[in-house]
Amino acid sequence: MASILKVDTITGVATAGSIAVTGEGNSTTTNLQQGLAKMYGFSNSGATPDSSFNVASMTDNSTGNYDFNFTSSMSNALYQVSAAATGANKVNGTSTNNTASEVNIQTRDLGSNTLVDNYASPAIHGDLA
Amino acid sequence: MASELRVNTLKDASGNNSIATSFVAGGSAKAWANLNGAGTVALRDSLNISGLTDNGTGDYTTSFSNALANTNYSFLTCNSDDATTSGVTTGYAYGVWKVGTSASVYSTGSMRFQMGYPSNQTLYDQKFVNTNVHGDLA
Repeated sequence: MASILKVDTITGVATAGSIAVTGEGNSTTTNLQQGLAKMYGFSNSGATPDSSFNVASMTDNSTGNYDFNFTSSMSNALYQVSAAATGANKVNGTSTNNTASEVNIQTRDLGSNTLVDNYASPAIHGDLA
Repeated sequence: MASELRVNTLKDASGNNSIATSFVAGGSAKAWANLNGAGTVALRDSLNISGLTDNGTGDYTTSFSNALANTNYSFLTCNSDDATTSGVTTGYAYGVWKVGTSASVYSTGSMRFQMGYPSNQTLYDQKFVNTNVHGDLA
């Protein structure tokens, strides 16, 4: 029988920030909070996100160098970052400048390895503050 | 007391923002890691990662605590290095699949991958290595 749960907030019983979700194999569980992306963004300008979650603003640092500033901060700067550029021979990378409140994305041309303006599309996993 | 909730769909209290619980399970990352891939390799933070192996320069294996159901999972990397090295640009490298067909390279229990600089196609250790996995748990 189909069922629908209407709720604004889901909280763990033993630990408020930890809820187990049964995986696709119907036996192993994965941690809901840990598996959720805590932020994503997509921008083709470097100045504003065209689509985003948990992004308050962007900073265009220089050519191919952008910060996505979080609405809700992470607990530290040790979160996992993934990112992809769009366009021929372009790649997104992160940097050593990440903080709990922003992730830095740099876009380079594969041929010249120089910073170039291009699409930036990061997502992060880790612990919210 | 532990409790279990079985439900097909989640909505907010107003009845909006509906999402099937299959998307909650299917859309959640099943593993991720932020690791130091230079010098003595070590995990900084992770989910569902039981071990990290340094196979050589720019060549790593992450082992999963709970295995994936098959080898068709998505694996993403994003990396950086702040070392100044001759012939490469200080900044970041890109991740590539290890070329090979061995099951030990790309398996349900672990993932082996390599890092190299785009400009010279040479494998290189990276100080900040980020990976994540989406797919089905066993």
